[in-house]
This record gives sequence, structure tokens and C-alpha cells, in this order.
Amino acid sequence: MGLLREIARAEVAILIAGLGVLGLWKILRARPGLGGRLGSRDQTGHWVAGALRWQMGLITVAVALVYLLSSLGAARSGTLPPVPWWALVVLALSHGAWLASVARRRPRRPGSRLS
Amino acid sequence: MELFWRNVIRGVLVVVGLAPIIVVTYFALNRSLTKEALMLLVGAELATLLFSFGLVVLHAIVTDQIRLDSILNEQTGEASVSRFQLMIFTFTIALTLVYLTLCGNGQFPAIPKEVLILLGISATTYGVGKGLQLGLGSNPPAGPQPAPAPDPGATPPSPAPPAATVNNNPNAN
Repeated sequence: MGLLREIARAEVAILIAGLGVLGLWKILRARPGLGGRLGSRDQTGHWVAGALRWQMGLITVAVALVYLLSSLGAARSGTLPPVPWWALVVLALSHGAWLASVARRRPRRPGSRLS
Repeated sequence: MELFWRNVIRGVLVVVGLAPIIVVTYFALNRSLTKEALMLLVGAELATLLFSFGLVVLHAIVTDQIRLDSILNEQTGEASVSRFQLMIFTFTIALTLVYLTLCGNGQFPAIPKEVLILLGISATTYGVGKGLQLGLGSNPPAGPQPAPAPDPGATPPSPAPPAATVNNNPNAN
């Protein structure tokens, strides 16, 4: 059983490494413009939309990196490390602000009393 | 090259399928088939089968049968921050689970409720963002009105110069 477990670990490592390398290669080759177009202004010329996109992307990457680092330290505990409640609040506010910026660009229907 | 890899995958699947039959028959004839040996055989079969499935998926990714190049794009080709954050959080939690399982005693790790809330926030953002963008795209664009019917006696107008390209795409995020 010990040998079988080592073989299974090696297989999982090979598959994850292959998926990661292939995925990164395909995504980078497609050039989705994460740097330029995510930070640019939207079609209405508002810089706030670009700033909201940037803060959401940065907070996402920061929370993910901190969580990965904390999970590396908690490898022996056998459980996923919990996320602090304030990090969840920050993340929810960040995502909510971005969603609000997307919803604000929605054109009003004719006859709507909202302006 | 394509045919070669296809034959390799077929060969692996055939070997994986035939191996337990041969091994079980051999040990059963010799009356030495123990429970531990059977469990080891089943475990090796499962590991080989899952690894083969993974190799098939990787092969499909390499040959562009599974396209990953637009996984971070909207349908218009613009980068999508909602897809980006969903992918980041999904891979973070998934890789952490795999890491803890491999480094631990083989038990599935317990998942705290905060992690589930984190994934819920991420997935909700993607879903609501997608719904808003679909709503934006379904509205008729506020473009120019159609021109009235031309006067039959009038001279035909000269073709207008092409208008400047304006990005009116409401889905660009």
C-alpha cells in the first residue's frame, strides 16, 4: 500500500504540473490583455471603472497568495486553514463595488423614472 | 503523430482492462488470492485508470481539442476579471486540498465554513456579473435611426465616409 500511495502521489503531481504548464502556456499565448485592457477606462471614459477592476484583481491575488502561504504552514494540521472574517468582508466589498460599476453602465429603459 | 498517441492511449486502456482479469485468474488458480492482494490490485487499477484519463485530457489540451486559450476571455475577446477571480480562487482551494491530502495521512481534509463562504462570494460575483453583462448585451444598441425612404426624383447621395470606430461593446470588462 505504501508503494501504491507513492505512485498515486507521483501521478497527481504529474497531472497537476502538466495541467498548470499547459494552461499557462495556452492562456499566455492567447494574450487576454489582463494588464492593459483590465486597467483601461471603459467605453464611457470613466477611470473609476478601470480602478475598480484593478482593485478587484489585486485583492483577489493578494487573498489567494496569503491563503496559499498559510496553507503551506498548516500542512500538518490536516484541515484547510480558515479565512479571517475581515478578509471575507474586504473581498465582498471589493466584488460588490465592481458589480456596482458593471450595473451602473446598464442603459435605462425608456419611460423609467430612475435617472 | 496523432495516430501514434491515439494508439498509445488505446494500448494503455487495453492493458489496464486486461491486467486484473489475468492477475485474478492466476492467483485464483493457485489458491493464493488474499484480501490484501486484491485491494492492492484494485488500487493500482484505479490509479492507472485515473492517470490514463488525465493523460487523455492533457493530450486533448495539447492538440486543441479542449481549448483553454479563451478561458479568461469574454465572448467579445476582452479580458474578463470575473472569470479571472473565479479561476484564481478555485485553483487556490483545489491545490490546497490536494497539497494537504498528499502531505497528510491520506484523509480528506476538513473544509471550514469560511472557505465555503469565500468560494460562494467568488462564484456569486461571476454569476451576477455574467447576468448583468447578458442584460447589457440583450438591450438594443442606441445607434443611429434608419434613414427615411429616398425621394425617387432626387439624385442619389454620395457614399458617406466611414464613421470613426467607436467601442460600443457593453460587455468589455
